[in-house]
Amino acid sequence: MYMLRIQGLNKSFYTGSSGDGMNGEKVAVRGVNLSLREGDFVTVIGSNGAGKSTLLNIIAGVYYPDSGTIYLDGKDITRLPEYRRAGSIGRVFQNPGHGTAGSMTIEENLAMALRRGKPRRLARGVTESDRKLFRDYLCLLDLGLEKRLTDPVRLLSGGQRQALALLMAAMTRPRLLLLDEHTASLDPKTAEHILNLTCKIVAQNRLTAIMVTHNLMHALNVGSRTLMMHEGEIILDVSGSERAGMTVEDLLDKFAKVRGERLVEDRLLLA
Amino acid sequence: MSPTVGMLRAALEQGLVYGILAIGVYLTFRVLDFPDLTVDGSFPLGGAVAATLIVAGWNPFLATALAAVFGYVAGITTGVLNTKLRISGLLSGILTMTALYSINLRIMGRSNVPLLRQDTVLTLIEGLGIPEPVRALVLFFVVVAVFVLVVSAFLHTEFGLALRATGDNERMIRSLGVDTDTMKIVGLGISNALVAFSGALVAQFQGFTDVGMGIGMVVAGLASVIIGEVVVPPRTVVRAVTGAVAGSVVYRLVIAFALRAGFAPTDLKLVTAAMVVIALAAPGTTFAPLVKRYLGLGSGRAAIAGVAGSGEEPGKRAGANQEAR
Repeated sequence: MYMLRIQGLNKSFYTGSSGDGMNGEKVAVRGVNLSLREGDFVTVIGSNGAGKSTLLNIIAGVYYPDSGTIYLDGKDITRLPEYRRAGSIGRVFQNPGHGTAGSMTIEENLAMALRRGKPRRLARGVTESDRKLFRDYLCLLDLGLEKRLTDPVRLLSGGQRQALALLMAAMTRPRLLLLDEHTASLDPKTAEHILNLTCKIVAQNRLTAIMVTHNLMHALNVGSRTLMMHEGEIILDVSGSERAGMTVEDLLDKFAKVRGERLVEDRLLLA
Repeated sequence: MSPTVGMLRAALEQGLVYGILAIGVYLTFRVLDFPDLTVDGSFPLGGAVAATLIVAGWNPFLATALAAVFGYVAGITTGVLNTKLRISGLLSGILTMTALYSINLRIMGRSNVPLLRQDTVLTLIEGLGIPEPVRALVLFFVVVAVFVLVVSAFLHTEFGLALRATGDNERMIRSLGVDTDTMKIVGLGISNALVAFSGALVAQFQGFTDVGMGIGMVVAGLASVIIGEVVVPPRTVVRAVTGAVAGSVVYRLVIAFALRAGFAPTDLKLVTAAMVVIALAAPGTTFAPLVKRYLGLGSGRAAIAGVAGSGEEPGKRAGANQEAR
Protein backbone atom coordinates (compact mmCIF):
# COMPACT_ATOMS: atom_id res chain seq x y z
CA MET A 1 0.00 0.00 0.00
CA TYR A 2 1.50 3.31 -1.07
CA MET A 3 0.93 6.43 0.98
CA LEU A 4 1.34 8.78 -2.00
CA ARG A 5 0.45 7.60 -5.48
CA ILE A 6 0.64 9.86 -8.52
CA GLN A 7 -0.60 8.62 -11.88
CA GLY A 8 -0.19 10.15 -15.32
CA LEU A 9 0.27 13.70 -14.10
CA ASN A 10 0.38 16.45 -16.74
CA LYS A 11 0.51 20.19 -16.31
CA SER A 12 1.09 22.99 -18.78
CA PHE A 13 1.14 26.70 -18.25
CA TYR A 14 -0.25 29.11 -20.77
CA THR A 15 1.47 32.43 -20.90
CA GLY A 16 -0.88 33.81 -23.52
CA SER A 17 0.21 34.83 -26.97
CA SER A 18 3.83 35.78 -26.78
CA GLY A 19 3.89 37.59 -30.09
CA ASP A 20 6.74 35.53 -31.46
CA GLY A 21 4.60 32.94 -33.18
CA MET A 22 4.63 30.60 -30.20
CA ASN A 23 1.32 29.84 -28.57
CA GLY A 24 2.85 30.46 -25.14
CA GLU A 25 2.36 26.93 -23.84
CA LYS A 26 4.98 25.57 -21.48
CA VAL A 27 4.80 21.95 -20.43
CA ALA A 28 5.89 21.86 -16.80
CA VAL A 29 5.06 18.28 -15.84
CA ARG A 30 4.69 15.48 -18.40
CA GLY A 31 3.26 12.06 -17.64
CA VAL A 32 4.67 11.74 -14.14
CA ASN A 33 4.04 8.52 -12.23
CA LEU A 34 5.35 8.33 -8.70
CA SER A 35 4.60 6.18 -5.68
CA LEU A 36 5.94 6.70 -2.18
CA ARG A 37 5.83 4.27 0.70
CA GLU A 38 5.44 5.42 4.27
CA GLY A 39 8.79 6.65 5.56
CA ASP A 40 10.33 7.25 2.13
CA PHE A 41 12.61 10.26 1.99
CA VAL A 42 12.93 11.21 -1.67
CA THR A 43 15.34 13.78 -3.06
CA VAL A 44 14.59 15.41 -6.42
CA ILE A 45 17.15 17.01 -8.71
CA GLY A 46 16.98 18.55 -12.16
CA SER A 47 17.85 21.75 -13.95
CA ASN A 48 15.78 24.91 -13.79
CA GLY A 49 12.40 24.44 -15.42
CA ALA A 50 12.54 20.66 -15.07
CA GLY A 51 9.20 20.70 -13.25
CA LYS A 52 10.38 19.91 -9.73
CA SER A 53 8.67 22.81 -8.01
CA THR A 54 5.57 22.43 -10.15
CA LEU A 55 5.33 18.80 -9.09
CA LEU A 56 5.50 19.79 -5.41
CA ASN A 57 2.98 22.57 -5.97
CA ILE A 58 0.56 20.15 -7.61
CA ILE A 59 0.96 17.70 -4.73
CA ALA A 60 0.32 20.56 -2.29
CA GLY A 61 -2.71 21.76 -4.25
CA VAL A 62 -1.41 25.15 -5.33
CA TYR A 63 -2.16 24.11 -8.92
CA TYR A 64 -4.52 21.48 -10.20
CA PRO A 65 -3.07 19.20 -12.86
CA ASP A 66 -4.43 19.19 -16.44
CA SER A 67 -4.76 15.43 -16.16
CA GLY A 68 -3.71 12.64 -13.84
CA THR A 69 -4.60 11.62 -10.33
CA ILE A 70 -3.05 12.02 -6.89
CA TYR A 71 -3.91 9.66 -4.05
CA LEU A 72 -2.83 10.37 -0.50
CA ASP A 73 -3.41 7.41 1.82
CA GLY A 74 -5.67 5.93 -0.84
CA LYS A 75 -7.86 9.02 -1.05
CA ASP A 76 -8.13 10.96 -4.30
CA ILE A 77 -6.98 14.49 -3.48
CA THR A 78 -6.44 15.68 -7.06
CA ARG A 79 -9.08 18.40 -6.86
CA LEU A 80 -9.02 19.09 -3.13
CA PRO A 81 -8.32 22.80 -2.41
CA GLU A 82 -4.88 23.54 -1.04
CA TYR A 83 -6.11 24.62 2.38
CA ARG A 84 -8.11 21.41 2.79
CA ARG A 85 -5.16 19.10 2.21
CA ALA A 86 -2.78 21.22 4.26
CA GLY A 87 -3.61 19.22 7.37
CA SER A 88 -1.74 16.27 5.86
CA ILE A 89 0.99 18.13 4.02
CA GLY A 90 3.70 20.30 5.58
CA ARG A 91 5.79 22.56 3.37
CA VAL A 92 8.98 24.56 3.54
CA PHE A 93 9.69 27.07 0.76
CA GLN A 94 12.95 28.24 -0.71
CA ASN A 95 12.57 31.77 0.61
CA PRO A 96 12.66 31.79 4.44
CA GLY A 97 10.20 34.68 4.35
CA HIS A 98 7.56 32.54 2.67
CA GLY A 99 7.20 30.01 5.47
CA THR A 100 6.71 32.43 8.34
CA ALA A 101 4.75 35.61 9.06
CA GLY A 102 7.31 38.35 9.72
CA SER A 103 5.10 40.80 11.56
CA MET A 104 3.99 38.14 14.04
CA THR A 105 5.92 36.73 16.97
CA ILE A 106 7.72 33.38 17.09
CA GLU A 107 5.11 31.94 19.42
CA GLU A 108 2.26 33.20 17.25
CA ASN A 109 3.80 31.60 14.18
CA LEU A 110 4.22 28.30 16.03
CA ALA A 111 0.69 28.50 17.40
CA MET A 112 -0.69 28.84 13.88
CA ALA A 113 1.32 25.81 12.81
CA LEU A 114 0.08 23.84 15.80
CA ARG A 115 -3.47 24.33 14.49
CA ARG A 116 -2.51 22.99 11.06
CA GLY A 117 -5.58 21.75 9.23
CA LYS A 118 -7.88 22.42 12.19
CA PRO A 119 -10.62 25.05 12.40
CA ARG A 120 -9.55 28.40 13.81
CA ARG A 121 -11.60 29.09 16.90
CA LEU A 122 -12.17 32.19 18.98
CA ALA A 123 -10.04 30.62 21.71
CA ARG A 124 -6.83 32.26 22.87
CA GLY A 125 -4.24 31.80 20.14
CA VAL A 126 -1.22 31.10 22.36
CA THR A 127 -1.74 29.40 25.71
CA GLU A 128 0.71 28.85 28.53
CA SER A 129 0.94 25.13 27.79
CA ASP A 130 1.62 25.99 24.13
CA ARG A 131 4.56 28.12 25.25
CA LYS A 132 6.06 25.27 27.21
CA LEU A 133 5.73 23.00 24.20
CA PHE A 134 7.25 25.64 21.89
CA ARG A 135 10.28 26.09 24.17
CA ASP A 136 10.91 22.36 24.07
CA TYR A 137 10.64 22.28 20.28
CA LEU A 138 12.81 25.37 19.82
CA CYS A 139 15.51 23.87 22.03
CA LEU A 140 15.86 21.14 19.41
CA LEU A 141 16.90 23.78 16.87
CA ASP A 142 19.80 24.83 19.09
CA LEU A 143 19.54 28.48 17.98
CA GLY A 144 18.52 30.06 21.29
CA LEU A 145 15.07 30.90 19.91
CA GLU A 146 13.38 29.38 22.98
CA LYS A 147 14.29 32.59 24.82
CA ARG A 148 12.78 34.82 22.15
CA LEU A 149 9.17 33.60 21.97
CA THR A 150 7.69 37.10 21.78
CA ASP A 151 10.14 38.50 19.22
CA PRO A 152 8.64 39.32 15.82
CA VAL A 153 9.93 36.83 13.27
CA ARG A 154 11.19 39.58 10.96
CA LEU A 155 14.01 40.17 13.47
CA LEU A 156 15.40 36.67 12.85
CA SER A 157 18.16 35.84 10.37
CA GLY A 158 17.35 33.87 7.23
CA GLY A 159 18.68 30.67 8.74
CA GLN A 160 16.74 31.14 11.96
CA ARG A 161 13.60 31.87 10.00
CA GLN A 162 14.07 28.78 7.86
CA ALA A 163 14.66 26.62 10.94
CA LEU A 164 11.43 28.00 12.37
CA ALA A 165 9.62 27.33 9.08
CA LEU A 166 10.91 23.77 9.13
CA LEU A 167 9.70 23.28 12.68
CA MET A 168 6.31 24.74 11.74
CA ALA A 169 6.03 22.41 8.77
CA ALA A 170 6.92 19.29 10.76
CA MET A 171 5.66 19.85 14.30
CA THR A 172 2.23 18.29 13.79
CA ARG A 173 3.84 15.30 12.01
CA PRO A 174 2.07 15.73 8.68
CA ARG A 175 1.66 12.67 6.46
CA LEU A 176 3.90 14.29 3.88
CA LEU A 177 6.64 16.89 4.15
CA LEU A 178 7.49 18.88 1.00
CA LEU A 179 10.81 20.73 0.96
CA ASP A 180 11.28 22.99 -2.06
CA GLU A 181 14.99 23.87 -2.22
CA HIS A 182 14.65 24.98 1.34
CA THR A 183 18.40 25.42 1.84
CA ALA A 184 19.14 27.09 -1.50
CA SER A 185 18.94 30.70 -0.35
CA LEU A 186 21.10 30.19 2.74
CA ASP A 187 24.86 30.51 3.13
CA PRO A 188 26.68 27.13 2.98
CA LYS A 189 27.19 26.79 6.73
CA THR A 190 23.59 27.65 7.57
CA ALA A 191 22.41 25.40 4.76
CA GLU A 192 24.29 22.46 6.31
CA HIS A 193 22.72 23.21 9.69
CA ILE A 194 19.20 23.33 8.24
CA LEU A 195 19.85 20.15 6.28
CA ASN A 196 21.06 18.35 9.41
CA LEU A 197 17.99 19.58 11.27
CA THR A 198 15.82 18.34 8.43
CA CYS A 199 17.36 14.85 8.59
CA LYS A 200 16.99 14.80 12.36
CA ILE A 201 13.37 15.91 12.36
CA VAL A 202 12.40 13.56 9.52
CA ALA A 203 14.10 10.61 11.20
CA GLN A 204 12.78 11.28 14.69
CA ASN A 205 9.21 11.67 13.50
CA ARG A 206 9.53 9.00 10.77
CA LEU A 207 8.12 11.46 8.25
CA THR A 208 7.60 10.79 4.57
CA ALA A 209 9.34 13.58 2.70
CA ILE A 210 10.15 14.92 -0.75
CA MET A 211 13.09 17.30 -0.94
CA VAL A 212 13.95 19.28 -4.07
CA THR A 213 17.58 20.31 -4.14
CA HIS A 214 20.19 21.73 -6.49
CA ASN A 215 22.99 20.10 -4.53
CA LEU A 216 23.79 16.72 -6.09
CA MET A 217 25.75 15.61 -3.05
CA HIS A 218 22.79 16.31 -0.76
CA ALA A 219 20.58 14.49 -3.25
CA LEU A 220 22.61 11.31 -2.84
CA ASN A 221 23.60 11.55 0.82
CA VAL A 222 20.22 12.55 2.23
CA GLY A 223 17.16 10.36 2.17
CA SER A 224 16.53 6.92 0.73
CA ARG A 225 15.69 7.55 -2.92
CA THR A 226 16.65 10.00 -5.63
CA LEU A 227 14.68 11.24 -8.64
CA MET A 228 16.02 13.22 -11.55
CA MET A 229 13.60 15.34 -13.56
CA HIS A 230 14.11 16.78 -17.01
CA GLU A 231 11.61 18.74 -19.08
CA GLY A 232 8.74 17.69 -16.86
CA GLU A 233 9.55 13.98 -16.79
CA ILE A 234 11.14 11.76 -14.18
CA ILE A 235 14.14 10.37 -16.06
CA LEU A 236 15.89 8.64 -13.18
CA ASP A 237 14.60 6.93 -10.08
CA VAL A 238 17.19 5.18 -7.94
CA SER A 239 17.13 3.70 -4.46
CA GLY A 240 18.71 0.90 -2.46
CA SER A 241 22.05 -0.54 -3.54
CA GLU A 242 21.98 1.09 -6.97
CA ARG A 243 21.77 4.49 -5.28
CA ALA A 244 24.31 3.59 -2.61
CA GLY A 245 26.86 2.91 -5.33
CA MET A 246 26.24 6.17 -7.14
CA THR A 247 28.50 9.18 -7.14
CA VAL A 248 27.90 12.77 -8.10
CA GLU A 249 29.84 12.05 -11.30
CA ASP A 250 27.43 9.25 -12.17
CA LEU A 251 24.55 11.68 -11.79
CA LEU A 252 26.26 14.23 -13.97
CA ASP A 253 26.95 11.55 -16.59
CA LYS A 254 23.32 10.46 -16.58
CA PHE A 255 22.25 14.02 -16.89
CA ALA A 256 24.60 14.79 -19.77
CA LYS A 257 23.47 11.63 -21.52
CA VAL A 258 19.80 12.56 -21.34
CA ARG A 259 20.45 15.99 -22.62
CA GLY A 260 22.60 14.58 -25.42
CA GLU A 261 19.88 12.21 -26.51
CA ARG A 262 17.39 15.03 -26.56
CA LEU A 263 19.67 17.04 -28.79
CA VAL A 264 19.97 14.13 -31.19
CA GLU A 265 16.20 13.74 -31.26
CA ASP A 266 15.77 17.40 -31.95
CA ARG A 267 18.22 17.17 -34.83
CA LEU A 268 16.35 14.23 -36.28
CA LEU A 269 13.11 16.19 -36.09
CA LEU A 270 14.66 19.12 -37.82
CA ALA A 271 16.30 17.04 -40.53
CA MET B 1 -5.07 81.44 18.39
CA SER B 2 -5.32 79.56 21.64
CA PRO B 3 -7.51 76.51 21.75
CA THR B 4 -10.65 76.86 23.81
CA VAL B 5 -11.91 74.17 26.11
CA GLY B 6 -14.98 73.76 23.95
CA MET B 7 -12.90 73.23 20.85
CA LEU B 8 -10.71 70.65 22.54
CA ARG B 9 -13.73 68.82 23.86
CA ALA B 10 -15.37 68.76 20.45
CA ALA B 11 -12.20 67.42 18.86
CA LEU B 12 -11.91 64.76 21.54
CA GLU B 13 -15.53 63.69 21.12
CA GLN B 14 -15.18 63.43 17.38
CA GLY B 15 -11.79 61.78 17.63
CA LEU B 16 -13.24 59.05 19.82
CA VAL B 17 -16.43 58.45 17.85
CA TYR B 18 -14.52 58.40 14.56
CA GLY B 19 -11.89 56.31 16.33
CA ILE B 20 -14.19 53.31 15.90
CA LEU B 21 -14.01 53.91 12.16
CA ALA B 22 -10.23 54.19 12.44
CA ILE B 23 -10.08 50.75 14.08
CA GLY B 24 -12.08 49.40 11.15
CA VAL B 25 -9.73 51.00 8.64
CA TYR B 26 -6.76 49.63 10.60
CA LEU B 27 -8.21 46.12 10.24
CA THR B 28 -8.35 46.29 6.45
CA PHE B 29 -5.42 48.53 5.50
CA ARG B 30 -2.96 47.23 8.05
CA VAL B 31 -4.04 43.81 9.30
CA LEU B 32 -5.43 42.43 6.03
CA ASP B 33 -3.26 44.62 3.79
CA PHE B 34 -6.43 45.32 1.81
CA PRO B 35 -7.13 48.89 0.59
CA ASP B 36 -10.85 48.87 1.30
CA LEU B 37 -12.86 51.76 -0.12
CA THR B 38 -16.20 50.30 1.00
CA VAL B 39 -15.85 52.60 4.03
CA ASP B 40 -17.13 55.66 2.15
CA GLY B 41 -20.39 53.78 1.65
CA SER B 42 -20.66 51.74 4.84
CA PHE B 43 -20.20 54.80 7.08
CA PRO B 44 -23.34 56.59 5.79
CA LEU B 45 -25.02 53.16 5.63
CA GLY B 46 -24.64 52.95 9.40
CA GLY B 47 -26.08 56.43 9.77
CA ALA B 48 -28.95 55.69 7.39
CA VAL B 49 -29.95 52.45 9.08
CA ALA B 50 -29.75 53.86 12.61
CA ALA B 51 -31.56 57.12 11.78
CA THR B 52 -34.31 55.44 9.81
CA LEU B 53 -34.97 52.89 12.53
CA ILE B 54 -34.88 55.50 15.28
CA VAL B 55 -37.38 57.69 13.42
CA ALA B 56 -39.54 54.58 13.01
CA GLY B 57 -39.55 54.24 16.77
CA TRP B 58 -36.91 51.58 17.36
CA ASN B 59 -34.72 51.50 20.43
CA PRO B 60 -31.57 53.51 19.53
CA PHE B 61 -29.25 50.85 20.98
CA LEU B 62 -30.89 48.19 18.84
CA ALA B 63 -30.83 50.52 15.82
CA THR B 64 -27.09 51.11 16.31
CA ALA B 65 -26.41 47.40 16.62
CA LEU B 66 -28.40 46.71 13.44
CA ALA B 67 -26.42 49.40 11.65
CA ALA B 68 -23.30 47.39 12.44
CA VAL B 69 -24.91 44.25 11.03
CA PHE B 70 -25.67 46.11 7.78
CA GLY B 71 -22.06 47.29 7.69
CA TYR B 72 -20.92 43.71 8.12
CA VAL B 73 -22.99 42.68 5.08
CA ALA B 74 -21.51 45.55 3.05
CA GLY B 75 -17.99 44.40 3.94
CA ILE B 76 -18.80 40.81 3.08
CA THR B 77 -20.05 41.97 -0.31
CA THR B 78 -16.71 43.57 -1.09
CA GLY B 79 -14.93 40.45 0.16
CA VAL B 80 -16.97 38.15 -2.07
CA LEU B 81 -16.44 40.40 -5.10
CA ASN B 82 -12.70 40.27 -4.48
CA THR B 83 -12.17 36.63 -3.53
CA LYS B 84 -14.90 34.74 -5.38
CA LEU B 85 -15.35 36.91 -8.47
CA ARG B 86 -11.64 37.82 -8.63
CA ILE B 87 -12.25 41.56 -8.92
CA SER B 88 -9.32 43.62 -7.65
CA GLY B 89 -9.53 44.76 -4.05
CA LEU B 90 -9.69 48.45 -4.91
CA LEU B 91 -12.40 48.00 -7.53
CA SER B 92 -14.43 45.68 -5.29
CA GLY B 93 -14.58 48.40 -2.66
CA ILE B 94 -15.47 51.08 -5.21
CA LEU B 95 -18.28 48.93 -6.61
CA THR B 96 -19.81 48.28 -3.19
CA MET B 97 -19.39 51.92 -2.22
CA THR B 98 -21.14 53.08 -5.39
CA ALA B 99 -23.97 50.60 -4.95
CA LEU B 100 -24.36 51.69 -1.34
CA TYR B 101 -25.02 55.28 -2.39
CA SER B 102 -28.28 54.16 -4.00
CA ILE B 103 -29.03 51.74 -1.20
CA ASN B 104 -28.52 54.43 1.45
CA LEU B 105 -30.92 56.73 -0.38
CA ARG B 106 -33.44 53.89 -0.58
CA ILE B 107 -33.13 53.25 3.14
CA MET B 108 -33.48 56.92 4.07
CA GLY B 109 -36.05 57.75 1.42
CA ARG B 110 -34.38 61.16 0.96
CA SER B 111 -30.89 62.54 1.20
CA ASN B 112 -31.10 63.82 4.77
CA VAL B 113 -32.87 62.49 7.87
CA PRO B 114 -32.96 64.77 10.93
CA LEU B 115 -33.01 63.24 14.42
CA LEU B 116 -34.26 66.30 16.26
CA ARG B 117 -36.41 65.49 19.28
CA GLN B 118 -35.81 61.81 18.75
CA ASP B 119 -34.46 59.50 21.40
CA THR B 120 -30.84 58.57 20.66
CA VAL B 121 -28.23 56.62 22.58
CA LEU B 122 -27.14 60.01 23.92
CA THR B 123 -30.55 60.98 25.29
CA LEU B 124 -31.14 57.48 26.68
CA ILE B 125 -28.11 57.69 28.96
CA GLU B 126 -29.25 60.99 30.48
CA GLY B 127 -30.51 59.09 33.50
CA LEU B 128 -27.04 57.80 34.37
CA GLY B 129 -26.13 61.09 36.02
CA ILE B 130 -23.22 62.04 33.78
CA PRO B 131 -23.14 65.86 33.57
CA GLU B 132 -24.19 67.16 30.16
CA PRO B 133 -20.93 68.79 29.03
CA VAL B 134 -19.01 65.52 29.12
CA ARG B 135 -21.83 63.05 28.53
CA ALA B 136 -20.98 62.30 24.91
CA LEU B 137 -17.30 62.24 25.78
CA VAL B 138 -17.79 59.64 28.50
CA LEU B 139 -20.07 57.51 26.34
CA PHE B 140 -17.70 57.54 23.36
CA PHE B 141 -14.69 56.90 25.57
CA VAL B 142 -16.32 53.83 27.12
CA VAL B 143 -17.49 52.51 23.75
CA VAL B 144 -14.10 53.02 22.11
CA ALA B 145 -12.29 51.47 25.07
CA VAL B 146 -14.49 48.39 24.81
CA PHE B 147 -13.79 48.13 21.08
CA VAL B 148 -10.03 48.52 21.58
CA LEU B 149 -10.07 45.71 24.14
CA VAL B 150 -12.37 43.42 22.17
CA VAL B 151 -10.59 43.90 18.82
CA SER B 152 -7.16 43.44 20.44
CA ALA B 153 -8.31 40.27 22.16
CA PHE B 154 -9.90 39.05 18.93
CA LEU B 155 -6.64 39.54 17.04
CA HIS B 156 -4.94 37.25 19.57
CA THR B 157 -7.40 34.38 19.14
CA GLU B 158 -6.69 31.46 16.82
CA PHE B 159 -8.99 33.11 14.29
CA GLY B 160 -7.34 36.48 14.81
CA LEU B 161 -3.87 35.03 14.26
CA ALA B 162 -5.04 33.47 10.99
CA LEU B 163 -6.57 36.82 9.96
CA ARG B 164 -3.30 38.66 10.63
CA ALA B 165 -1.30 36.00 8.83
CA THR B 166 -3.61 36.36 5.81
CA GLY B 167 -2.50 39.98 5.52
CA ASP B 168 1.13 39.18 6.28
CA ASN B 169 1.82 35.98 4.34
CA GLU B 170 -1.12 34.50 2.51
CA ARG B 171 0.81 31.61 1.02
CA MET B 172 2.09 30.49 4.40
CA ILE B 173 -1.22 30.55 6.23
CA ARG B 174 -2.91 28.72 3.36
CA SER B 175 -0.22 26.04 3.60
CA LEU B 176 -1.28 25.69 7.24
CA GLY B 177 -4.85 24.89 6.23
CA VAL B 178 -6.60 28.26 6.43
CA ASP B 179 -9.10 29.32 3.77
CA THR B 180 -7.78 32.81 3.14
CA ASP B 181 -10.86 33.79 1.11
CA THR B 182 -13.00 33.33 4.21
CA MET B 183 -10.50 35.28 6.30
CA LYS B 184 -10.65 38.25 3.92
CA ILE B 185 -14.44 38.15 3.70
CA VAL B 186 -14.92 38.00 7.47
CA GLY B 187 -12.18 40.59 8.07
CA LEU B 188 -13.82 43.03 5.66
CA GLY B 189 -17.17 42.32 7.30
CA ILE B 190 -15.89 43.09 10.80
CA SER B 191 -14.10 46.21 9.59
CA ASN B 192 -17.20 47.62 7.92
CA ALA B 193 -19.37 46.67 10.88
CA LEU B 194 -17.15 48.93 13.00
CA VAL B 195 -17.34 51.67 10.36
CA ALA B 196 -21.15 51.48 10.18
CA PHE B 197 -21.36 51.46 13.98
CA SER B 198 -19.27 54.62 13.97
CA GLY B 199 -21.59 56.12 11.34
CA ALA B 200 -24.65 55.28 13.46
CA LEU B 201 -23.16 57.00 16.53
CA VAL B 202 -22.05 60.03 14.51
CA ALA B 203 -25.56 60.44 13.07
CA GLN B 204 -27.06 60.44 16.58
CA PHE B 205 -24.34 62.73 17.89
CA GLN B 206 -24.75 65.38 15.18
CA GLY B 207 -28.54 65.02 15.13
CA PHE B 208 -29.00 64.02 11.50
CA THR B 209 -27.71 61.67 8.86
CA ASP B 210 -26.78 62.70 5.37
CA VAL B 211 -26.18 60.54 2.33
CA GLY B 212 -22.99 62.48 1.61
CA MET B 213 -21.42 62.09 5.02
CA GLY B 214 -19.22 59.20 3.91
CA ILE B 215 -17.23 61.16 1.37
CA GLY B 216 -13.55 61.07 2.28
CA MET B 217 -14.00 58.72 5.23
CA VAL B 218 -11.45 56.21 3.93
CA VAL B 219 -8.82 58.89 3.73
CA ALA B 220 -9.79 60.29 7.14
CA GLY B 221 -9.50 56.80 8.61
CA LEU B 222 -6.20 56.22 6.89
CA ALA B 223 -4.93 59.58 8.15
CA SER B 224 -5.90 58.51 11.67
CA VAL B 225 -4.12 55.18 11.35
CA ILE B 226 -0.95 56.75 9.97
CA ILE B 227 -0.90 59.57 12.54
CA GLY B 228 -1.53 56.93 15.19
CA GLU B 229 1.57 55.04 14.12
CA VAL B 230 3.62 58.16 14.72
CA VAL B 231 1.97 58.95 18.06
CA VAL B 232 1.96 55.35 19.32
CA PRO B 233 4.60 53.22 17.52
CA PRO B 234 2.76 49.96 16.79
CA ARG B 235 5.09 47.45 18.39
CA THR B 236 2.20 45.28 19.54
CA VAL B 237 -1.34 44.73 18.33
CA VAL B 238 -2.83 46.48 21.37
CA ARG B 239 -0.64 49.50 20.71
CA ALA B 240 -1.60 49.52 17.04
CA VAL B 241 -5.34 49.44 17.80
CA THR B 242 -4.97 52.08 20.52
CA GLY B 243 -2.85 54.11 18.13
CA ALA B 244 -5.62 54.17 15.53
CA VAL B 245 -7.92 55.82 18.09
CA ALA B 246 -5.20 58.17 19.31
CA GLY B 247 -4.47 59.07 15.71
CA SER B 248 -8.13 59.80 15.16
CA VAL B 249 -8.14 62.23 18.10
CA VAL B 250 -5.01 63.99 16.86
CA TYR B 251 -6.50 64.14 13.37
CA ARG B 252 -9.64 65.87 14.67
CA LEU B 253 -7.48 68.32 16.60
CA VAL B 254 -5.57 69.17 13.45
CA ILE B 255 -8.87 69.65 11.63
CA ALA B 256 -10.12 71.92 14.44
CA PHE B 257 -6.98 74.02 14.18
CA ALA B 258 -7.32 74.15 10.41
CA LEU B 259 -10.83 75.54 10.82
CA ARG B 260 -9.57 78.13 13.27
CA ALA B 261 -6.81 79.07 10.89
CA GLY B 262 -9.47 80.14 8.42
CA PHE B 263 -10.04 77.10 6.22
CA ALA B 264 -13.64 76.68 5.14
CA PRO B 265 -15.30 73.40 6.21
CA THR B 266 -15.44 72.48 2.53
CA ASP B 267 -11.65 72.73 2.36
CA LEU B 268 -11.18 70.02 4.96
CA LYS B 269 -11.04 67.09 2.52
CA LEU B 270 -8.16 68.85 0.79
CA VAL B 271 -6.47 69.43 4.14
CA THR B 272 -6.94 65.76 5.01
CA ALA B 273 -5.56 64.50 1.72
CA ALA B 274 -2.58 66.83 2.07
CA MET B 275 -2.05 65.58 5.62
CA VAL B 276 -1.90 61.97 4.44
CA VAL B 277 0.52 62.84 1.66
CA ILE B 278 2.76 64.78 4.04
CA ALA B 279 2.67 62.00 6.64
CA LEU B 280 3.61 59.46 4.01
CA ALA B 281 6.29 61.42 2.25
CA ALA B 282 7.79 63.62 4.98
CA PRO B 283 11.58 63.34 5.05
CA GLY B 284 12.93 61.37 7.94
CA THR B 285 9.92 59.11 8.22
CA THR B 286 10.08 55.47 7.32
CA PHE B 287 7.40 56.12 4.73
CA ALA B 288 9.32 58.46 2.46
CA PRO B 289 11.66 56.03 0.71
CA LEU B 290 8.90 53.46 0.40
CA VAL B 291 6.45 55.86 -1.16
CA LYS B 292 9.05 57.01 -3.63
CA ARG B 293 9.86 53.44 -4.51
CA TYR B 294 6.26 52.44 -5.02
CA LEU B 295 5.44 55.56 -6.98
CA GLY B 296 8.53 54.82 -9.03
CA LEU B 297 7.12 51.44 -9.90
CA GLY B 298 4.26 53.28 -11.56
CA SER B 299 1.56 50.83 -10.56
CA GLY B 300 -1.49 52.23 -8.82
CA ARG B 301 -2.14 49.03 -6.93
CA ALA B 302 1.43 48.82 -5.72
CA ALA B 303 1.40 52.44 -4.67
CA ILE B 304 -1.66 51.95 -2.54
CA ALA B 305 -0.49 48.62 -1.20
CA GLY B 306 2.74 50.34 -0.33
CA VAL B 307 0.88 53.01 1.54
CA ALA B 308 -1.09 50.38 3.34
CA GLY B 309 1.84 48.27 4.33
CA SER B 310 4.59 50.79 4.81
CA GLY B 311 4.33 51.69 8.45
CA GLU B 312 4.55 48.44 10.25
CA GLU B 313 7.05 46.49 8.31
CA PRO B 314 9.25 48.01 5.67
CA GLY B 315 11.31 44.83 5.47
CA LYS B 316 8.41 42.66 4.49
CA ARG B 317 7.29 44.91 1.68
CA ALA B 318 10.79 45.31 0.40
CA GLY B 319 11.23 41.57 0.41
CA ALA B 320 7.98 40.92 -1.38
CA ASN B 321 8.98 43.48 -3.91
CA GLN B 322 12.28 41.87 -4.70
CA GLU B 323 10.64 38.55 -5.37
CA ALA B 324 8.22 40.13 -7.76
CA ARG B 325 11.11 41.07 -10.00
